[in-house]
Amino acid sequence: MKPTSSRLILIVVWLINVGLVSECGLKKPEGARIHVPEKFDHLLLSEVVDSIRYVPLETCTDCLIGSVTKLLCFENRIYILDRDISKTLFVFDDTGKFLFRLGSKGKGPGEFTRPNDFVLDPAGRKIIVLDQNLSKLSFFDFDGTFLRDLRLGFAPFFIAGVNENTYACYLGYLPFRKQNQIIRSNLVLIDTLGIVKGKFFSYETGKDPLRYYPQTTFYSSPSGTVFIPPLENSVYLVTSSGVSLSYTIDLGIESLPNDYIWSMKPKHELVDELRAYRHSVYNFFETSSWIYFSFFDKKEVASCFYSKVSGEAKAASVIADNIDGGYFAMPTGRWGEELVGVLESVYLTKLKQKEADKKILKLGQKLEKILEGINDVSNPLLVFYRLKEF
Amino acid sequence: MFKHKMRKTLTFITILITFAGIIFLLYEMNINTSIQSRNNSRDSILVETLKEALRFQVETVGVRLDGSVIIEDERNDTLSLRNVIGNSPKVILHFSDLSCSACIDIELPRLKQLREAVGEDKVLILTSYDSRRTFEVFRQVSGINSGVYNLRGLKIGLSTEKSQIPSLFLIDSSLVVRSMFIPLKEFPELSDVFYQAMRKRFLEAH
Repeated sequence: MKPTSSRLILIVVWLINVGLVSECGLKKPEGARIHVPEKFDHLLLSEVVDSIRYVPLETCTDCLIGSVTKLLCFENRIYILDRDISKTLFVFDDTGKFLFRLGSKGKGPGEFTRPNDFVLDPAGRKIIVLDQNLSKLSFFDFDGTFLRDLRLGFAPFFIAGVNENTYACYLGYLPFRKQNQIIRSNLVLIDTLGIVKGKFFSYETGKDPLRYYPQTTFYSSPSGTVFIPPLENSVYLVTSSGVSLSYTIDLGIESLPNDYIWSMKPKHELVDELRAYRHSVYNFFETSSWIYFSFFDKKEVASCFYSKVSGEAKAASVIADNIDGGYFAMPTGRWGEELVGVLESVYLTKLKQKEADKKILKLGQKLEKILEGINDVSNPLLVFYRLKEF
Repeated sequence: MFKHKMRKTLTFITILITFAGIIFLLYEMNINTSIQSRNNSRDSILVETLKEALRFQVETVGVRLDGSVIIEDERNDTLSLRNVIGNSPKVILHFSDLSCSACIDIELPRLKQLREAVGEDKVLILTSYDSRRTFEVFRQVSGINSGVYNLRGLKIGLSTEKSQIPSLFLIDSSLVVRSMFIPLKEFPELSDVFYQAMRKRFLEAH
C-alpha cells in the first residue's frame, strides 16, 4: 500500500475514533473530594453556627403561601415559589413584608399552569419563571411587570442562569415528553431567544437517562449552574463553555454503588432499596469558606458541613439546638454567608404547645417573642444561620 | 499510465464511500437501538405503574374505612368521617400534601363537572395537609368551597395512604369501599371512564 492510501485510512480511522469518543459523552476529571465521616452522632448547632436570626413572613390574604418549593434571596428581597398549591411566585422584602406576587393561573401571556422553577437575571434585572406544562419562560422586571413570554421547543423541569445571555435547562425528570425526545439530552444550554446552544448528559450515553427520582440540585451560582444529577454524589458546574466536575462527595463505604441499576424499578421498590444505602447529595450550598449539603443516610436525612479552610467535614442527622433555643430547619437557600431554613407555622405552634407543656427546654427570647404572633395559618418563619469557620 | 491512476483513484473513492456507508449504518443502528430501548423502558415503567395501580385497587375494594377518624371542614370545625359520609354513597378524591400535584390538577376540573352533574353533596375531597394554611390555599385556588375536608395526617385505612398515591373511590353508607380508581396523568381517558360510570350510577339511582 502506498503512503498516501495508508495516510487516508489513518485519517478515516482517526475520524471514527473521534466520533466514538465524542459519543461517550463527558470527560470526567476528578474534582475536589469531600469525605463524609463514616460514623457520626448528633451535632450541636454551636459547633457549626455562629448566630441565628429570624424573619417571619407577613401573612395576608394575597400572600398566603401553600408550600415553599424554592427560595432565593437577592438584593434585600426574598423570592418564594409555591409550585404545587397556589402556583405563584411571592416576593417579600428582607424584613418579611409582602411586596407582590407574580402570575395568575391560565395559559395566556404571563400566566402559569405549572410554574416549576424560576431564575433571577441580575444583569438584565429580570425575573424569569418556567412553566413546565406550557414549555415557556415568562419574563418580568424586578417590579413584577410582565415583559414577554418565550415558548421553548422542549419541556424543562428546572432552569438556572449560566450568564446574562445563557440559561441552563434540566430535562431529566421529563425524559418521555415528546418534545424532549427530540432534544435527547438531560441538560441543555439556551440563549435569551430560546435557541439551543449546547447539549449535555445525552440520553444515549452515560447512565440511564430515565431520571425520575426527584432529588436533584440545579441552581445558579456566580460562577455558573450547580448541578447534581439524581442519586449521584458528583457536583458539576455548568458554564457557557461546558460542564466540569467541581466536587466528588465520598459518602463512605455504605454509599450507593456506582453500578446500581434503578431505572426499571417501580418507585416504591426503589425507595425501599435505597434505605440500605447512603445516597443522593442535594441542597448543596457553597460560599467562600464552607460547603453545606444534605444527603440520605439510609432512612434518615443527614446534613454535612464542610470547612473549605480546614478540609474537615462534620455530619449529623440530628442537630441539637443550643443557640437561643434556635431550631435547625433544613436549609433551602443561601443569603451571602448565611444558610436559610424554613420553619413551618404548624411546627411552630406545636413547639409553643410543647413548651407550654414543659416538654422541651425553654425557648430562646428571640424565638419566644416571634412565636407570640404565630398561629397555624401564619406564613412560614425563615431562619438565617450564619455559619462559623471550623 | 492515466488509466492506472484513474483506477487507483476510483479504488480510493470506493473505499471511502464504503467506510462512510458503514459509519452511517452503524450510526443509524445505534440511534434505532437507543430509541427502541427508550420506548421499551417507557413501556416498562407504564406497565409497572398500571400494575401498582391495579394492586391498590384490589387491596382496597371491600375494605371498611375507619369512621371514627376526626377530620376538619372548611370552617375548621371537626367532625368524624362517619358523620361526613352520612347515609348515602359518596365519591371521594383522596390525596395528601405529598401526592403528585400535577395528577391532582388534572383531576380537579373533572371532579367539578361530576359535582355539577350529580350534586355537590355526593362528591367530596379528602385532603391530608399537615398545615391548615396549605389547606386554606388549596381551597382558595381550587375554587371548591364545600365538601372539602382535611385529615391532617390521620389515616383512614386506604392502602394508598402509605405511598401518598391519590385515589378516587366510591364508598357506601357503611363506609365500605365499593369501587376504586387510581388516576394516572398518563391516562386521563381512564379517569373519564370512572367519572362516566359514577355519573351513570348516581343519575340512574334517582
